[in-house]
Formats: sequence, C-alpha cells, structure tokens
Amino acid sequence: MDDREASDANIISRSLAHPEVFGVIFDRYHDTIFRYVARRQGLDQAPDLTADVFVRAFRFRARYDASRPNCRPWLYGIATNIVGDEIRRQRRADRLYLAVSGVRVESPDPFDRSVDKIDAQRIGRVLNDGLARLSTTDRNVLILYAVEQLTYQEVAEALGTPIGTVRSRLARARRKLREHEGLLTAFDPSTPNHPDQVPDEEVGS
Amino acid sequence: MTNPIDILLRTLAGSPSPTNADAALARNALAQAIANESSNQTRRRKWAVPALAVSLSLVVVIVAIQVVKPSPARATLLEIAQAAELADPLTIPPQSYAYTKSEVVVLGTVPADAFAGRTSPMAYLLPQTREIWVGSENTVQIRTTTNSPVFFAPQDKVDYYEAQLDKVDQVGQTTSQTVTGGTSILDERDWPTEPDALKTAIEDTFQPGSVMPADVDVAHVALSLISESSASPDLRAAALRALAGLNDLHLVQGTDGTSTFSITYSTPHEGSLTFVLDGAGKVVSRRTVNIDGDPGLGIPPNTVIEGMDYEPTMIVAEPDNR
Repeated sequence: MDDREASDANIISRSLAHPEVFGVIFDRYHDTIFRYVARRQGLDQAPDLTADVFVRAFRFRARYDASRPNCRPWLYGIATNIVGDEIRRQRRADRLYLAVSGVRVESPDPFDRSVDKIDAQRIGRVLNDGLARLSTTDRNVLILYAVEQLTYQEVAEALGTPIGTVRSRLARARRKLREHEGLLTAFDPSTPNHPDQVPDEEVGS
Repeated sequence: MTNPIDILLRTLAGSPSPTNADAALARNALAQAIANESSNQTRRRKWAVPALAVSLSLVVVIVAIQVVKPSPARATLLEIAQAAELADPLTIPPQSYAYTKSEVVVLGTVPADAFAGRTSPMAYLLPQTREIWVGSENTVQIRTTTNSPVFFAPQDKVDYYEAQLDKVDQVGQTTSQTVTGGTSILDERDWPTEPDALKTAIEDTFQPGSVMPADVDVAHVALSLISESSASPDLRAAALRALAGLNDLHLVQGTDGTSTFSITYSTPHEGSLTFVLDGAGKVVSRRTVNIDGDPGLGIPPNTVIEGMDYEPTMIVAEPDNR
C-alpha cells in the first residue's frame, strides 16, 4: 500500500519496525498541530512546542491504539498535555492567542449576525478573561471542539474522557463563557456602541 | 457549527501558519529522535528474541492477574473521580469564606531522656480541632484548638504533666494564624491535573529514606491535596485517579453514599491507611492504624495513630473570631 493511502494506524504500526516511516505522520499533521499550539501558546513558542509534540508522539508510538485509524486526536491530546505543562512551568493563566490586528472582524458564517463586525479587541480581552476562569479541562474541550473543530468522539479520544463527559463539559463551558460578565454585554445588540447600532459607513470593512 | 460562542472563538483565534523554518525545526528534531532510535534498535536486536519471550510471558501473567483479580476499589474510585470532575468548583462570594472544621488526632512521641527517671520513650495521642476559613481573596485563617492528650498507660499521664509537656503541646489553648495562598504548604505548588503527572509530582516531594511504601506516601499526599483545600474539580479528579492506580488498594465498604478504601502495609510494623470519600470525591475521614502495635512505645495493637474527620465545607459571612 502506498504511504499516501495508508491509515495513520498503519503508518504508526509500520514505524515500530521502520522508524523513518513516522515522517509521514509529521507531513500529514505538522501544520495542523502547529496552528493549535500557536493559538494556545503564541507564535513565538509554537515551533519548539510543535517539535516536542512530534518527538513525544514518536517515542510513545508503541502505545498508540491501532484500532483508531486516525491519529489526529492522539496528537491533539499530546499537544494539549505539552501546552498544559508549559503553562504550569510559566505559571501563567491559560489564554487563547487571538489573531486580531484590527478592531473589526467579519463573521465567517454569513448566516450568523451575532458576531458580525464586533469590536474584536474588546471581545478578545473579555473572551480570554472568561476562558481563564474555566477549568483546564472545560477550556480544553471547548477549544478542541469549537476552534480546532474536532468531533465529540475525537475530543474524547484526545483527552481520554468519555464522550458524555465531553458533551457536558462543552455545554458547561459555553454557558459559563456566555454568562461571563462583559461577554453577554458584547453580544447584546441593544448595548450602546455595539457595531450593529453604528451606521455602516462608520463600521469599516 | 452555529453556536455563537464557538463561532466567536474560531473567528478570533485565526489561523496562524508555520513558516518553512518552523517546519524545518520540528522536522530536524523528529529526524534526530528517529536516528537515535534506529541506532539503539541495531544494538538491541541481538537481544530481541529472548526479550520478546520474557515480554510475552509477562503479558500472560498480567492478563491472568487481571482476569482473576478485578479491582472494585479502582472501579469505584474512577467513578467517584468522574463525578468530582463534573462538579462545579467551589465559588467563594466576595466578603465570604469557605469554612471547614476537622477533628484531628496525631501521635506524639517523646524520648526517655526528656523525663526524670524514665527509661522508655513515651507515645500519646494529641487530639486537635482545626478550623479553616478560606476567603474570596485567598486569605486563609487557621484556628487550632489542642485538646487533652490520650495516654496508653496511667504513668504516662503523670510523667507527661510533670515534664510540663502540656505547655509544649499548648494543651487547652487555641492558636490562630492568617496566611495567604492555601491551607497547607502543599497549596503553594501548582499541581498537574493529569493523574500520572500528578503522581510523579507527588513522588518528587518525598524525602529520601522514608520507611513507608511509596504508594502509601502517595496516598497521604494525594488525600491531603483534596482534604481541606478548595481543590479544583480537575485536581480532585486527578488525585482520585492517582489513588485508583495504587497497588493493594481495597474497597472495604460502600454504603450511605460513601465509600471506604484501605491499604495495608508493613513498615515493618503492620499498618493500614483507610479513607472515606463521599460520592463527589470529598474526603470524609482518614485513619492510619498501627495494626500490630509497638511494644517499645507502649502502643497497643489496632491503635489509630493518625485520624482526621472533616465536616462538609460551608460558606460563611466571616471567620468566627472568638
């Protein structure tokens, strides 16, 4: 079978006898894991931490559950642990690095008006404050599901948590974030200064 | 995905891309790891067949043990850990305190030369009432009242008071202290919330030369982490999962919403650590029992040499400044 067609599990199994084959896993997922680590730890630390993810994955590949053809959740789990270790080492609050340079962002979803043209920097601060108040696992579940777009099953595999727990944690994290002071205000279209109440020409694009 | 919170997160998180240099750095690190393993594999190969045979026989033994010895203690602890993980963290409103009261018994020992005319050391039990108020700003007030000791022989009591050890132990006195950060020195650390990492971090704190089996020491520290403190659900769950992985842990009983667990050990004296958890993973009590006693110290068999009973934590408006 061509490496390009082989499942991740197959590649990892073969890499036990032929370590160099693990490079295929790197090629498949490096950029994905890099983006995740950069969102959690910033671009400065992302290169080294991403390298750690793949080195650790390689060293522990014998423990990989070969019944799971797709190793993406496993790599996310390793990355989450490495990010968690780094946060503890730095003794700082966990936050999401936000890719906002301007003051306005457009919603990627044309049908969703609630985040259309909002004050991204202000919301970003409130969002990070709200995220910091979540438990570590709730935050990990929310980011893996909402930002990284893993499925419930994949989040469960990544964090070694039952799928029911993932659902309940996700619901709780969303509720707490929605209720977090300031974020509710930001979502409320009746709030003064909300962009939806500003004439279009002042909103910018 | 239509949840506004999800969309907001995804939108603001952006999509940072690695540069070629970023990818090269990671690729080189992986290549180095692969090269190291490849050279090790070459060296190990001549031992591969005997090692494989040993591994397979170990697998057979391990599988056999797992088949004949299911662990209800482990299963129960994992269930409790899951409940603890899903519990809401303790929230202390502004200008309020989380109050926890506990009754504690500790073993005191005094060498013979502390007494006039005594040739043997003395042991006694010192009961204390411990009250803790954890404020919303992380200030902690601890009040300890030391009650009358319990002696193992009438002469011990006479010798104890003649040597005025009651003043040393502050018997009958109440002392208060205010600290910040936590209820014990353990709270000064930022503990991992992954069970294996937590167990390793606990083991790192051990002083060399402990006579206790490592698992018992791990159990003591893990229980201390979640006993009086307002431990986060994640830390509580991790501590319970670390406990679930200990050897020789037995489920003694499980009624009335609590579960009792016990580890028996030899130090060389036979001893046991027993702890009771409620369904949410809160520690209700813990006991260390000297099973075969210690004639040298005059301790009878089956003596509780360390005990803690914790009342449920409640939110109060202010510390009781009696």
